[in-house]
Amino acid sequence: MIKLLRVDHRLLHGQVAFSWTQSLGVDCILIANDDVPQNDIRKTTIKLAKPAGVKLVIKNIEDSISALQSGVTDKYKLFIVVESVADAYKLAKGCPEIKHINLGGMKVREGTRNISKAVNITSDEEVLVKELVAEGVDIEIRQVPNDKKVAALDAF
Amino acid sequence: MARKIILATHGNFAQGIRTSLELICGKATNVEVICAYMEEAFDLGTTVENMITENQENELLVITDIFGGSVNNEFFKYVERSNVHLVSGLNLSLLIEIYTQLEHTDSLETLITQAIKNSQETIQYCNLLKVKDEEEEF
Repeated sequence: MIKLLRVDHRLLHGQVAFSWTQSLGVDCILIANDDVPQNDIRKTTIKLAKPAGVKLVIKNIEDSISALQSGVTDKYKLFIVVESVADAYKLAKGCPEIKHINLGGMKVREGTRNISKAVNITSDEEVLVKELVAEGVDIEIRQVPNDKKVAALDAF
Repeated sequence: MARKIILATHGNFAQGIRTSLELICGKATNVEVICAYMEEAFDLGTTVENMITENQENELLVITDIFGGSVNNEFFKYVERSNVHLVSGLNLSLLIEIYTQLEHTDSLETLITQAIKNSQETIQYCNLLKVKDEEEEF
């Protein structure tokens, strides 16, 4: 089952790996990203961040969606990490099983506004988030598991 | 009986690493610090003794900076007590692992032993690392 999908521009790093894996009790992490599979340095740093005893799978967005739809991931307690709202949107559209999305880290970019500590969003991304929320996906903002959950729409 | 972590170091290290812990794990309510020798009048013996006396009803997990240093040695006087666990070599991996599992473990002894082993493995000369090439699959 899919425990959580997190948006974090740093993908998997110490903070995410340690605290979320522990608090969600997951046994498998999927990094869904179109760059990482062919970027050796990024791939290496992600592998280094992997906590012991957890499986780590790295796939591009299309292959991630296929894997999630195929049922091979059903036996895992799965934590998915993507780097952008756009990628989260594609996965959620492809896999209705994704019911919870966490916005954890979105850096300052052209056209973004700050809506929470470490979360900066463009107006295009806001549209995507609103659409998913309207379809029943729970989208919340939290950096670490112990922070208070803030519904994304309340922060807009 | 509550479980408490006490970070005890030379100077502000203990306070600093607690802010690092909180950045990663959120507000840490059961973590106290002793930043030794920051004031002229600081008395290590009394500070440690008071800490031990105030916490006789609690299970204490003390982590100090240097094995064999004065802070560690001062706490060493109390290791015979069944509610005092003393660990040296404070670092962030060790602290996070202990902190996140503190309330979920039956045996502090097992938790501490495992956390020390795991955190030792995180001290690495990264240039020499060989990362596995093969990819994991579902």
